[in-house]
Amino acid sequence: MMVKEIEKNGMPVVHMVNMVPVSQGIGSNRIVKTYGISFPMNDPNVTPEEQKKQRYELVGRALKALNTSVTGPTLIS
Amino acid sequence: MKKIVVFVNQYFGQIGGEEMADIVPELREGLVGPANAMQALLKDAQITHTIICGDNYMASNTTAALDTIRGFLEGIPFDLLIAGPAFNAGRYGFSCGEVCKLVQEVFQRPAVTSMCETNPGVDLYRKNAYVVAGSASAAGMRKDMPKVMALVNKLLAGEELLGAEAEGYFPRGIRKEVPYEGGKNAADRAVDMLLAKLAGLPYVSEYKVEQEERVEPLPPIDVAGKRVAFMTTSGLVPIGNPDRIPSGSCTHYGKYFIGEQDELKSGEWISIHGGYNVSFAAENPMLLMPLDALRQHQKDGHFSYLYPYVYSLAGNQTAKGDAIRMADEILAEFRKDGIDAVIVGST
Repeated sequence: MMVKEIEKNGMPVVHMVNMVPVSQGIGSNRIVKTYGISFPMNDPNVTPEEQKKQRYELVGRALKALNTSVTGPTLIS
Repeated sequence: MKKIVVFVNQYFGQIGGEEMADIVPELREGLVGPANAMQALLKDAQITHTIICGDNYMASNTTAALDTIRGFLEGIPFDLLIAGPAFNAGRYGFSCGEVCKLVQEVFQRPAVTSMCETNPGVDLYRKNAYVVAGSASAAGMRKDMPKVMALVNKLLAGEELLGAEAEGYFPRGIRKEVPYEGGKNAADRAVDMLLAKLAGLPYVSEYKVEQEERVEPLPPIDVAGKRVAFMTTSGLVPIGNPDRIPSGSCTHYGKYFIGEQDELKSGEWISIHGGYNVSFAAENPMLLMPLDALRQHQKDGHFSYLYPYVYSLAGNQTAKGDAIRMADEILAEFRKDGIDAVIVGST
């Protein structure tokens, strides 16, 4: 809802979220799927080095999503 | 004697709370949790099995979860499935909705669930199942159950339904042509309504047009050289929760300085969100705001500036009006700082 309101007012926005169908259903246009509900930005079960890499990669995907052309709610992988 | 299967999550399945939200589906013979109250209200039907699945497991492994549940159902003769009630719980609403959708689409048998109007599952699944309008929390279980079971009994008996409003479920988008009792034809009634509207007199629309508001996507933006902001609905707050951000139904948010920092340290932040297991975040707050990754991308030239505060609230059962207002307020602050793009992190 907040993502939609931000975009409605002309600010580019990307949603990093786990429950993609809910985000799509409500209408966030650019969506990146996170690792888990309780651990969005990385898998907590891997090594700290790997976790850091995962966070970097996921943020990279979010930045890429901002620069991706979409016509409606879209999951960008 | 008709046979019923009930679907519940780990909490109503009496296995545990958030810490058990990752359990894989299991099939139990007999009644567990709310199935007992349901059985007491059933006419000529027996609940034979209860299926239990963790909310997180269903959310993160939907295909696998549904495959398993489908396998369970293929092995049991049943006439109807009841899921939930899910009240206002978003993940549970999603879970109940998916299972109901499976039953109606694959098994072509009726599936009934119940959710509060503000549960995102309502709009997602009301066309795939009978979603009875329910209360916001389990405190309403005793009030909601008779409504759900009245519909279940009607469906089992093959009785004709009187429509969504009369039967208490959310409209499924199915139109049934019914001759209008009362004399005037539609053309006359439409003109009467228009005349009333033009005269500023009250009128009642016979059919409410529901529309999901879509926002036209903005064109893509390359943020290299641009200013970016990060905000979160994960409930991330400094330890001690100085602004007393509530665990849900937020009407205000926090604004926390992250300045030039390139990481969030464990022990300095927690999450107060009431809708998920926050112990992971306590150990590593960067699970919620990946500040080290953001900084590295900034150093690598992928954007030039990171807004020096993180806006945070717990996006748990936020009222729509409050969500819109808070987004507008935060956006105004971003605009003052010349922000070009926003990343919203949720759970």
